[in-house]
Amino acid sequence: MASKYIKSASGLFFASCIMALNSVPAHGQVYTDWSNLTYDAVNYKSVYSCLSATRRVALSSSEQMVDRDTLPVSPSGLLRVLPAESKEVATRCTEDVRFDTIPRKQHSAWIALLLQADRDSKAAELVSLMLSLEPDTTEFDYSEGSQSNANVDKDKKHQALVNRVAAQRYLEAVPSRLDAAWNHIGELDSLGDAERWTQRFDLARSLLQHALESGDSNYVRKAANKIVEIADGLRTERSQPLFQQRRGVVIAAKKMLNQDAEMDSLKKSTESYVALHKSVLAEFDLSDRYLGQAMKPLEGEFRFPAAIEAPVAEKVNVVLVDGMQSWPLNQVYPMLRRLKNKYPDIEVVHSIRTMGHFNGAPLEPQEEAETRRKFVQEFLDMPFSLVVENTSFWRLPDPDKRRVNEITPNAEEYGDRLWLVDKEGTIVYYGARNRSQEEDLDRMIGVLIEREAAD
Amino acid sequence: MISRSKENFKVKSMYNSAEEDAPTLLNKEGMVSIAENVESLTKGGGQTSVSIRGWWRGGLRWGRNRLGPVSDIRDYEVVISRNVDGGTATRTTNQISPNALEETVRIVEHAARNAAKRRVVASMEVPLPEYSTPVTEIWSEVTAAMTAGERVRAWQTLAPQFKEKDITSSGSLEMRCHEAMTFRFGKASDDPNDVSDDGGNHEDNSDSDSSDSSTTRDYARYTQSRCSITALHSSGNASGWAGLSSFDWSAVNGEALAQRALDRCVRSVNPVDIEPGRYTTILEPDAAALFTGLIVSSLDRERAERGASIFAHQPDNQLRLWRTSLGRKIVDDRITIGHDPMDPMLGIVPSKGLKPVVWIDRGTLVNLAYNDRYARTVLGETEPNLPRSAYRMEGGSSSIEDMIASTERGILVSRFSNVLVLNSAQLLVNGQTIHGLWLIEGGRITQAVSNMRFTETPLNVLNNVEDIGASVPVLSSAQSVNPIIVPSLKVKDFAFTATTNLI
Repeated sequence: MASKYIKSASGLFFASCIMALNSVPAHGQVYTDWSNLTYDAVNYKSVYSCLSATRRVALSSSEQMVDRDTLPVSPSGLLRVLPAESKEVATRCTEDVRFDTIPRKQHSAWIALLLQADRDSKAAELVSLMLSLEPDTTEFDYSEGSQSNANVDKDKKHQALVNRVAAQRYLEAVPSRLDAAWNHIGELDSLGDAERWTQRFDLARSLLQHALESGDSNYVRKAANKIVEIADGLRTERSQPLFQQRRGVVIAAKKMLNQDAEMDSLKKSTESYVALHKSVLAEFDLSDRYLGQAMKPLEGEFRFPAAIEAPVAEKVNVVLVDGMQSWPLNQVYPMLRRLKNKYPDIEVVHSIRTMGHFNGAPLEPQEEAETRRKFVQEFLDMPFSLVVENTSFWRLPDPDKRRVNEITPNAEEYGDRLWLVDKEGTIVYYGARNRSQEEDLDRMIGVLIEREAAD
Repeated sequence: MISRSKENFKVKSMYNSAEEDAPTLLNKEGMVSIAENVESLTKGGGQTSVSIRGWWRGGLRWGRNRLGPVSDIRDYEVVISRNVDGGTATRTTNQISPNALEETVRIVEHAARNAAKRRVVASMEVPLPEYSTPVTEIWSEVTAAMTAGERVRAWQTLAPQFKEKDITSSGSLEMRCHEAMTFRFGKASDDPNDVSDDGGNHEDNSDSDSSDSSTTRDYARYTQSRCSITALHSSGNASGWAGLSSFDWSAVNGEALAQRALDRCVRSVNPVDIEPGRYTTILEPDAAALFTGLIVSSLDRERAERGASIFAHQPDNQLRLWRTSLGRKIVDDRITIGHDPMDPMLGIVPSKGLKPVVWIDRGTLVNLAYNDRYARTVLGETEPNLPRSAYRMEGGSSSIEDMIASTERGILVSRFSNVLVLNSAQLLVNGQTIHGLWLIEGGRITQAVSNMRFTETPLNVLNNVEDIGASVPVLSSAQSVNPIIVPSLKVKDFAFTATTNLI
């Protein structure tokens, strides 16, 4: 265990990265707060305190607001890179480790620490040791394993448990060791019924998530394939709640695998794309009432530019509906600006509603609509058309007198969602209002624009 | 950024000294002079606002009948804001010499121009309505004249009472003076905020001597004073306490407080244990203030509308909101609680938007507290309903003697201590009695009783009221200087849960 008081300034590297990003002119700001980066390795009495110390920076870094155009889609990925102090603590903690002195219950934590110290060969050595040990029910918790399958022998259960734990540790490491994790997932497959399907599914989902964060398309495809394979292998389980909870992941995995086919169908026509999408949903007894339907004209007493009809005819429209007055939408605004800059021919329409005030200042509906226009179009510099609904409201009787807002037509029909509409006015896509939609939208808008040009 | 000099921040501490040191305040003329000086120093046009604040705090503490530190602390604060070339900056200083002010103005202007270059825009602001400040008369020359020497002389008049009876006393005296004024220069006539329709009781602060481009406003000054005395009997098994605060030191009457603490201490000697349980209990005003204070501190309307307060009535699933207890009877129908900034006994420090409010009118909750933003956005009103730690509770006129005479068996409580809120939504509290607890039998006090632990809720106590006394000022808490005005209460079935060895 290291005894030297460690104090260095590698956090400066990250600070300089953030400063470099800040130097790019942008309308929003990022505030990233690195707290205390000082470690005292002499205080670490166990593998758990070592791990806590290495994770402290990741936990204490807080992202207050992200609305810049210049950040990657998932800024958490930027924050996941560990500062050198973390690595140094892990290195010192694992310097003199002897596996024969480690209690079996600490093996899992030591794998994590060894991976943080980049001692991958040592970690693999420890995993091999774990696999070679005799099963010990007092040290391994079999209740979360294959308890239901009493026919599987203890050796297989033990092998499955070790492989699962090892795969999880390899995935959780920074950066994720996708190769090693994939190998252990493969080992799990060879063990047959030693693991429940839910555990294999969740591991594959975790692999997919980490592969997406790492930007490794090869493993994205492998993980998606694995998810579909596990789902396709199920029979009676498909009607159980455990599967119902996970079917969204299966659909997403199938769509990932079908991405090229979907884009090809979209190139052909919106109808064929919608038909393909609905066929995937039909496998899971699901349907969709919006896709392929014509979007109704948006209601709005105040429009900027005046008299604009939304969605705009003969144009690809991206429609952002905010029925709960949750704006400004820090994640989605810059994303839409990026898309508009990339595809100047699209129309970005933002549907909002009046609430009787702006930033606490009471205003008449006309004034409020104009103030909100100034805020979005001038202050935030968002190239959006605005449709503002005048919210009807009533008040609770005396002495309460609270304002109760009625739901507006746009909010009732289209909720708080982001919609993609083709030039015929047909809904092609809709989703949540966050920047995770950006890649999908980008791809689909590109196809729609290309299709228009070909027409 | 604050530029603070020790030169003007003065702390004096004297032991057994009667050194005279009158509070040095700037007064209105001094503040106007500083503001005019700042105005003459500005360069480059634009708007300037200057807020000036001066304060003095004089203290005296004693323990074991011996005088402790006698201290004076004073300071100034000048906040200068400049809007030049489209940029805005603010700096604070406590140095009021011409050179120091000039240096601060130069720094502010430099920072404002830099801000303009960087185009720092915090947010898109829309002008908000301004609220008037009520003009109250809570200034006392007697309090302002309580120099260190005067405080020592005041202590000397009350200390002998304890020495004579071999009782150990400790306590504190505290005096405060505050004054503040705000100015704005440059294009004042274009600023809609400079036009104020104060009306009635509100001060028109526009200074007729100043030029057209400047407006002075909101000059306010006030005094505060408090006294707290604790007496401990030489037997070690009895104690007494008395305390009071007022803007006017002459209304506090330290000698009477000393006599009350002494009396409670002497009457508490040799207490006996009694069985815990539910007793008819007479709460002296200092004890009753605990429960009324809990009620007043929970009057937040937004909290009630989240269902997290005793004033949340029930959820309305249709409208997806919480109904509050507004308009419902919540306590005994003789009880009224509210505050009036013009009430001289309360001595509420004036602030913007402060107005008279009745919270509970004859047992019915008629108002909950909310801030200005809530008023504008949810209620469509222009003014907030701000809570205050100072309040007046009324409802009866009985004397404590009458209450004792009408009690067959009960307990008289002088004060509570170590109070802990167990459940903030229900305001379930427990704590201990202290400084005097007596058993009442057959309409008279028969003996002192050992202190006991209690567990109660304010709504339960205020719904079990049998009799209400005349309202008198009491010291609200150690942290607050403002007094509160509450009556004594006779309540039935007050829950004492255990005896304690607290003295």
